[in-house]
Amino acid sequence: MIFDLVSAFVIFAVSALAGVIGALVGIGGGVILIPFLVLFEGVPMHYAIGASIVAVVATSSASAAAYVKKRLSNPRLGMFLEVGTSVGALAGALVSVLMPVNVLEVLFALTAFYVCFSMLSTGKEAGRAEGRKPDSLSDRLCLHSSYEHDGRKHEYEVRSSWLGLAGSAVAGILSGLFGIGGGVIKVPLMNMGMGVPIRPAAATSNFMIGVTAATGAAVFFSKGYIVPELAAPIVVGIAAGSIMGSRLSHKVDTAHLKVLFVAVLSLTALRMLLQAMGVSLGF
Amino acid sequence: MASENEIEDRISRLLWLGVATAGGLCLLGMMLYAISQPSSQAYSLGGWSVMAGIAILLLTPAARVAMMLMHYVRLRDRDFILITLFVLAMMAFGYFFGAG
Repeated sequence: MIFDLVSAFVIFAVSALAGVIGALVGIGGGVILIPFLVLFEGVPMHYAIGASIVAVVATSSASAAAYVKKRLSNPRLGMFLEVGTSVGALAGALVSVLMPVNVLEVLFALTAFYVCFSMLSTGKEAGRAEGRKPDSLSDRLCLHSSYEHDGRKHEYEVRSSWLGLAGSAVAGILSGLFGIGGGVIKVPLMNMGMGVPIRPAAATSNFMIGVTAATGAAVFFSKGYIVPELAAPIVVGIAAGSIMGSRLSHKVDTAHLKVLFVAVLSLTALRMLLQAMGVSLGF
Repeated sequence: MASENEIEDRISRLLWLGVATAGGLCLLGMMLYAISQPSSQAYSLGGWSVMAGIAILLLTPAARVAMMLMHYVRLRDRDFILITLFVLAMMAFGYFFGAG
């Protein structure tokens, strides 16, 4: 697969944009990159997933490095939930490489609709886990932790660890199937299901994504679905974009950007769904 | 024995190092692609550079898990030794199952 210089530059530019938008609206770039590569660059779905999953490892490792240094991540909780995500990612990737392209496109489009729904529901931090007590496994593994915010130390207790493990496996399956990070499942799961405050939940999700995505990526790598000509501009572009985006995040009002992003992603997902079913909209 | 804070600092440094090295190799490969013809030696060198970058990138999270494993071994935390070993095994299976 050899791309001309113009295509490589366009892929680099869109990857950088995906990195900026991803950092601003709080998602990985995979959900933006895959439809672009498949619908506009004609890249086969499995190669697009292979390139995206490598980009996800790059962005999550870079942001995890910053979150760990700021003591926002909960490494013990992350390590525990990685049991679920790694099994899920391995299963998802092994199924993905065998799955027919049109089925994969339909499932990806449905996942993109879920991402849109999830993004519109963020900010409604529910305290569903607050009434429950920490379970014995959380106590035994010492998953409870604390973080600093606004100059104060906030302590929290982790609940429903088995629910977290099962939910993480689902996030891992989606990551392995579609080459995305799976943060859209992990963050609400930890926050609403396990009682982890939103900041450490997002940081711990990022901490886990590198391992989850690397597990799935190993399958795509060994199957030859990671092509250097495609991966290089994506890795460099998305890494540069996400660094830029995280610096802009304090200066930009992301509310309107989120609505615009959801609208564009919904249309793209619809187009992918119709393409998989053999219908062309002509846009 | 390293404290939790020290191990977190080491993990942070390891992740930065992995991403920076991988990004640098991918950037070098991309530049070689841009200045050479697809049949030239420089172009294939670019391919090797990118693949080395990707391999380092994929090994970085595994190295992070290995670093945590050593930390838990020092702490004699049996539960987390098993957890980290399991996750490392899943990562290794990813490559071997995929290649099979």
